[in-house]
Amino acid sequence: MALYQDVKDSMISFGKGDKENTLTGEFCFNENLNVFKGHFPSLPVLPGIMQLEMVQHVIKKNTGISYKIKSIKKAKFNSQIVPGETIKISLSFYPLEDDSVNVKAVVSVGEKTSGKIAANLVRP
Amino acid sequence: MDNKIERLIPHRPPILMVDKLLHFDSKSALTEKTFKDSDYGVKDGLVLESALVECMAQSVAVKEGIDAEANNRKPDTGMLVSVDNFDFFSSVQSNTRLEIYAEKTGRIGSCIIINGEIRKGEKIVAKGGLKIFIIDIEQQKT
Repeated sequence: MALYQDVKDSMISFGKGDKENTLTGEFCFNENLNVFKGHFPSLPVLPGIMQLEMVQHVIKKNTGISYKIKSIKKAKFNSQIVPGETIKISLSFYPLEDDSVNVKAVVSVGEKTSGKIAANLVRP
Repeated sequence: MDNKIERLIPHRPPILMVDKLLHFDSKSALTEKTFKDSDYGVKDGLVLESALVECMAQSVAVKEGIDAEANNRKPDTGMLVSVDNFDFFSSVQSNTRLEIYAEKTGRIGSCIIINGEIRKGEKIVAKGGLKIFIIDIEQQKT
């Protein structure tokens, strides 16, 4: 199984946010996923990089457009996410003249913010 | 796969993203990775940008593992806590040999600060900074 497939299969829901150019998505990663056998064998936690893929997938599901990362201005992963937790992504995206989009995303588990991402995405 | 890598870092397949240690000194490590079509970090024949970030993070972990081994300690576990000004200059196809250079530029408590770059031949395909928080995995389990 590939990383993007794990992210795709772990999406629970997606939708538009309350404001213009805002989107949301929810994910839950099953404890039986192979990635947890490698990260880490004695302490399964979700790799921080999965949050980057979740953001891209939320945009793809909502807009139908696949983007790839051109640059990550800042991504902070504040706390560990363990298998079975429900993860919410809330993001704002700002289309630019060069056809790329700037994205600001907040990743949360329950009431707790577990990550923040600011990145520029482009069409492949 | 160089089996030594698995002695130096706690990551295991499918998310083990370093093939070989090429060189190290007191502050840096140079590693090698060739993503295959079936690798976890590949989609439609292209290496995901997030996998390139993980590559660099694991290269730092290799360096930490070397230091731990030199001091007769088990390798620490590092959690990626920050990605800073990380730019991707071109797509990387699978089956491309990559060299990953990661240099420790500072340390704040249990957090190490890294700058690095990923090359395909002479060409830089990605570069940027990371922060890794070192944890005691045995303590985490209790």
